[in-house]
Amino acid sequence: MSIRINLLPEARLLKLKYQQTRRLTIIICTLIASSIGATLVILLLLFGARVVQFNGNKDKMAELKKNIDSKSQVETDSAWFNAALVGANTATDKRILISQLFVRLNEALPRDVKLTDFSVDQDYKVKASVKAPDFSTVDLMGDALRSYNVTNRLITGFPAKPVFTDIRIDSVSTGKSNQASTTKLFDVTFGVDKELVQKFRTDSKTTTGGGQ
Amino acid sequence: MAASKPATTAVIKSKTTNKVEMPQTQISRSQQTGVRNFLIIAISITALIVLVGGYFTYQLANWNITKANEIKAQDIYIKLANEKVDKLAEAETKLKDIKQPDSSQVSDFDRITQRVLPTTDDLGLLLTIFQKLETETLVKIENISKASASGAVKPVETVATSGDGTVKTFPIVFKATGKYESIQNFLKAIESSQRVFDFSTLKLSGTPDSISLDMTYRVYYMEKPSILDSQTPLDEYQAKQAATGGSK
Repeated sequence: MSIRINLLPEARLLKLKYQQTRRLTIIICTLIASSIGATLVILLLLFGARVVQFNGNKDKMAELKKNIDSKSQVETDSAWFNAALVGANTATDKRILISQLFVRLNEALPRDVKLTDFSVDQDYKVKASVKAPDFSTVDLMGDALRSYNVTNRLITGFPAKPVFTDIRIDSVSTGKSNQASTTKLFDVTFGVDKELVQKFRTDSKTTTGGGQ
Repeated sequence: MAASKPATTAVIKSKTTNKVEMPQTQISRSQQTGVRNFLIIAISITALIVLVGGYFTYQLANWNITKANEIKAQDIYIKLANEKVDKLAEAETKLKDIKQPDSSQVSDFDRITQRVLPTTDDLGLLLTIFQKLETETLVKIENISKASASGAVKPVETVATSGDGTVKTFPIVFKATGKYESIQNFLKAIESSQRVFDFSTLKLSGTPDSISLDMTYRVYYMEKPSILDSQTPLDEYQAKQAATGGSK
């Protein structure tokens, strides 16, 4: 014999509502939990695959490193040779060459004018100390430098134009007691034509010899 | 008529609120409590799952990103290392040729690294050059020394250069005496020497038959470069590649 409880319609409705609420809650919670679970699984799988790839690459890298290390001498020597070559080229291109300038200057100067001190900067601005017998020769020297390669002593294979520019005589003084009393000492500065400097460089590169 | 009005109002109210009147029995109360407890537990568990799961998701996502970047860096390393291996194989052959001595029994490699730009600022190497210059140009050379720090000429100076090495210079002073022609030849010879000489200053004295030159030159040398592994952060490398239009 079974006992049958005849619930009131309101009570039955409530029971159904509670059941529905429980079911809905379970569905929502399961959905949230499973989506998080699925995300975790995907990320784990992805991470696993990446770890496998990472380890594979590590082996490949070790092999390559071993290969490179075995040729470290070649690497060092190549780098050394290349660096020295570039360095030598840079140094050669920017160095100051005076052999030709010395010759040209001695050609240009009047006979009784003597060069005593001489320096050249990177832009080929020459600063020189010169000895001359008197003031008029000092003046002559300026003219001689200006007219060099224009009307006086043309340089072979080079266009006729002033090669010594911006000539400035900075100071003139009479020689000291141990020198001839009339000797004048003066400081002169001037620039050298860029094309002529280029010619010095080209000539020095084509010059053979110098096996030292 | 007047008594039936409140009853009608009650029906209308219950219809509009659509609320089930809860029978206040013991069973219904326990049902209500059960549902409430169930909801509390379910929401708590879900919140816990979300929190714990979220934390692990965040961590795993981070680990994945880190690993992905590490793999990207590895790929770049492998690509560059492969290129390097190819280049080294090519360089090995070329280096073998460069190291072959020529007719003067000196290889190009030795000429550049030992003679043109030696690794030290040793004066001994220069003395050999001056000895030859003296013999060839008949100029008498004396008092060769490294210049001191005083004066306009700087001591050891670093010259900026490309490549792996740093080129340095040091000044040397010496006195050369000879006839005008010999001096001319000497200046020419020093400039065409394999070692790079860079003129600094000159003082002249004497007569055309015996000119004395007090000279200062800068001489170049380069320390042997050392190859060191370098590391660049991935984002920096990628930015550099992008800036250079790095399709390589």
